[in-house]
Amino acid sequence: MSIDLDASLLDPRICAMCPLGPEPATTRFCARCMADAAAIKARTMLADELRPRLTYDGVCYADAIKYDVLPNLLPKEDPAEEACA
Amino acid sequence: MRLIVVARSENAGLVAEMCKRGHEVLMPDAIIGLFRQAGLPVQPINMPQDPNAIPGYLGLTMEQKIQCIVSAAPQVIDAVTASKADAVVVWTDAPPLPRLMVLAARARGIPTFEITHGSFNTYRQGHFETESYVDYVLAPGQEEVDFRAFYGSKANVVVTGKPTLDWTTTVDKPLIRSQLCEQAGITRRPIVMYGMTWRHPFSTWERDKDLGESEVFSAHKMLLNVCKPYLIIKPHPVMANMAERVRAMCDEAGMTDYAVSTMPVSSILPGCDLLVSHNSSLLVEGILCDIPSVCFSFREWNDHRFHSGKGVECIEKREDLLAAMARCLLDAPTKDRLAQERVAAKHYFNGPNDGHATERVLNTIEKLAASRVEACA
Repeated sequence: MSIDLDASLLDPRICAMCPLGPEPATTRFCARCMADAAAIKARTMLADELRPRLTYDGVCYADAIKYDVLPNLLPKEDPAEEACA
Repeated sequence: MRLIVVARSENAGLVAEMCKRGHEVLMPDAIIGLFRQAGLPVQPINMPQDPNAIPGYLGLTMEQKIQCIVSAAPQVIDAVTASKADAVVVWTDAPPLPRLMVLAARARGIPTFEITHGSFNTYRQGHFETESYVDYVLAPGQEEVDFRAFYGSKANVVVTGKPTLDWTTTVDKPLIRSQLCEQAGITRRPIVMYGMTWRHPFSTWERDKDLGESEVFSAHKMLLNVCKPYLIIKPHPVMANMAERVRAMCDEAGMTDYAVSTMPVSSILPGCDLLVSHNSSLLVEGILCDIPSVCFSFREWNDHRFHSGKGVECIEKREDLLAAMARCLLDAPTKDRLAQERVAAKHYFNGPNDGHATERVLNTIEKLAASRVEACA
């Protein structure tokens, strides 16, 4: 899935302290924050895509899928990725 | 008023106040037993099981999880619509069932409220990947407002103080201390509480399972040579049935001079000399009870700068934990500094901090719900 990240979702004050360090090659943000922002974006895109289907009696409940229906987008080198597998 | 409430057992005091004021309280079947056991006249509302409480839910595929929510949605929406409720109150609107209830209530013009948990970023929303969907977040303190704003949340946050912290203003610390000493069979020794927490896959950060137990155990063993502390380990409430497992971990690590306790925080923390915790909301209770506290997280430091200077020593490196615990337990200038920081931090984390948050939360719900009804009339 190609995801165009919104920089406003990311905060350099977090990235500066990330155990994986910054990811200067592509952005000023770290791999973890990039993964987190990508997961947010993916969930939002999924909810938006499903919005017409997830409606009952005039109530759109697409936002109910955002909590734990999330793809695991952690970078492969992150120990947390192994822990949550 | 008729209120639909999704609360935890720790919110029994607030629910009791709702009933005492004559409000009709409706609750999903899955949680109603907790409150009826406390003698509260709460009534059932026909709701399905929360999809994420279905056995095996976490192992389902994304499509299967969505199908669980799709299956539950009509019953939830119908129940909220038929309830004619004046307000919906949830302790958090994140999991699928309360989120569905909140979305349904908002679509029907019913005002919605969240009694947010408030903590050092464990099980809290406002982090940059989550948002609240309620009309009003009833927050413990300004910290909740600032924290959410920091992460770009647009939630409408009202500072009320946190009902489940009301006990901290009247607690008898010397009494708790003497009870702890009697139970542990100790006299003039420092008592350290290790408040464990848990992780839930809210985000990348919080999926980290490294809770740092081994570092706390190592620090305790080292401190035994210095000041002979007694360590009380409190598993997180959702891990209360894992006390034996924690004891086994301790025994395996060669621990001595410790106990694993599942007693309420109010029966342990006020009698301690030091609290050490992995980002738990217990740290707020430590501030309110004037207990020197160390917050550690070796991989999720994202909010430590945010909480700097707020009465808690935040530690990011494993090798710093022992020194921090020793400093906060034994070093007078450090203890004085933390005590000075706590004066302002108490109000920052818990608003007026006057022991009347329960009444204030309900007053706020009554006022805002009534103004909505008037506006619609």
